[in-house]
Amino acid sequence: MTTLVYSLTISTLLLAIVVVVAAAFRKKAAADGMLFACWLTALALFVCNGWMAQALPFGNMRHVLCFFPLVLAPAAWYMRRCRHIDLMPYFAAVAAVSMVGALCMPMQAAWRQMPALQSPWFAPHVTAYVVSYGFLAVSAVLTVAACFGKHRHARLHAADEVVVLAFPFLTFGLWSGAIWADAAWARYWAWDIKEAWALITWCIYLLYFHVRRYSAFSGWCRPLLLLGFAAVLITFFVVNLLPSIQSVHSYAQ
Amino acid sequence: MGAACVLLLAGAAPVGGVPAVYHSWPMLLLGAFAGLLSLWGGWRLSAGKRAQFVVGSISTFFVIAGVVTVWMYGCKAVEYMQMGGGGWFAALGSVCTMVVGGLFIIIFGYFMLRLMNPRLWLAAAHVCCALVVLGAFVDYCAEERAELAITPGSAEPVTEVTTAAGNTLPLGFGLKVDSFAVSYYDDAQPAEHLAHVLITRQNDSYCPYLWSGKLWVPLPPGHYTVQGTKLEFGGRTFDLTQLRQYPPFTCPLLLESAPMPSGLAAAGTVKEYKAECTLETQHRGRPETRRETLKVNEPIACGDWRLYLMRYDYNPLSNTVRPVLLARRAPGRWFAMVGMVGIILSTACWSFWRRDPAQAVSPQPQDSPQV
Repeated sequence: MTTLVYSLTISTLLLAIVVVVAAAFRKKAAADGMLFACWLTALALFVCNGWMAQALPFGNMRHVLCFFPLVLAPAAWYMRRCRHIDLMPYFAAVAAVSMVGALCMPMQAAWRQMPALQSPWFAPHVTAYVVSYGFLAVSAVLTVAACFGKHRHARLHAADEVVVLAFPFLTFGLWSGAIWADAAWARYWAWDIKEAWALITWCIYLLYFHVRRYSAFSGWCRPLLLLGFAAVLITFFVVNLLPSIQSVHSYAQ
Repeated sequence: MGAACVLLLAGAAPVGGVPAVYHSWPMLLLGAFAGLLSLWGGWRLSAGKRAQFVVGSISTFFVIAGVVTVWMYGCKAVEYMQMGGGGWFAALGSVCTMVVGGLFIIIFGYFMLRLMNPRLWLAAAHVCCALVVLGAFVDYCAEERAELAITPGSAEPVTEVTTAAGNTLPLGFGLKVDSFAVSYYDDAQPAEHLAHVLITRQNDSYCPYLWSGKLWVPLPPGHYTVQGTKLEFGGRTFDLTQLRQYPPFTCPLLLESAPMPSGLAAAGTVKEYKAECTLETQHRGRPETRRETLKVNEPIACGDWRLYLMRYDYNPLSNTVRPVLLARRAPGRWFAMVGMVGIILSTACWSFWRRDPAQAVSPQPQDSPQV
């Protein structure tokens, strides 16, 4: 089963890379097909992880990183169909990076849900955050890409559209966590370092929404988007992996 | 917002962060300021459509109430159906309440969809932020929390609690824990874990020791009593005539070991722990008894209080395990909850229903530009 998991992870990574290359060469049909195949392998990986863990596979960072392609592929299709912006290579690139991260994480065969995690809020809370972080990663890539080449304005506009879609998921993840904490820990906000950084991330994007309306502050938009993504990275990686940090959210440790 | 980010960063910096800033007066001041600004923002955004905004918000509130009613009474109906017998009538009553909740959703949902637009959803999000801040401030001033460890099976109910500040508050009801159980995942071999007690005599005095896992720890004098040939502590009695000399030890010893309480003898990952509780209340002057199961993530509400199962403690003195509950009275909780749910709903509606008139003409899907 371990071999199968690694094979599926590498397959998902390679397919995501192929999507990026196909989209770069304007082969839309091939990119669509490869993205669908990438999504299928990600689904198989999700099922395998769940089978090995004997629970919903959200127990450690590798599980969560493997979940990214599963949500990013439909997100790319949604952006093209409903928002009429084709961002397939960007979503595929973020999915590929998440697969690289998953390969770097140790394989933990079994994961046992602690009593505090046995809640109907667990899956929606984690899913919302994964979706939002995926969207925000895409917006960060678009913001950086807007500094180079042509289509700068279009890329910034696309980054803005993606952030507008990401923000409700980020909001749901943050406040659903508070509602869940009220039931589990008798306190909807404990100023835990993970919670504080999640709030910082939310506040930065909130600041971005208030600033972007005014032309006088238009120069702040790009730095805020990048700062917000830096906060996402700190919330998701640094807080989880830094050994000196003690957090009630460190279940994976 | 920039000031809020700076203060939050000061407390949350992974190296050298000072979390105490979150409980300081600048944070309180900033919170109050943020709440007032949010309220003002909502007021500004709803300019010219205030009546529409108020009616739309009330409709939204009733839609959420309808959703919660359908969910809660739906779960109760399923529980009653599983009980069978007279439970079917209770299930029927729950289904009727569900129908009422459904009607609320349909009727007020129609008004909500007709009255609210993206700008008013944004205004609602601002007002809900202010609600969250209001709830937080009310709880900061008026919240009461008290931990209580209750021995399972004790006859006397707990009727009052003592907060960390030393205030004793009446619960308004009696609380007993009938039983407490811990279950484990089958990821470890159950091991025989024993609680060890060693009693020695030096000159004419006796001293009991407890095994801590690494060394023998003497009990302080006030924790045990000696009456004749019996030594008592933690509900256990030891016969001092059983002390024997064991060379090369110079003083006589008595060593007794008892198995740890059920549920603690197996080493492994805790799967679940729950306490069966009895709540003795008064309803219209008559005593009423209610039995509830208390689990993590499933607190019990009784009167103004909510009871949470936080953890359990093993007491080596008495070789017993006791659940640790937390009784909480938080008057601002409802404001904060309504605000949080409102923020989630408003932000989602604003994001997914927003339409920019300047970009109303959208290209066909096959013409989607690749950026």
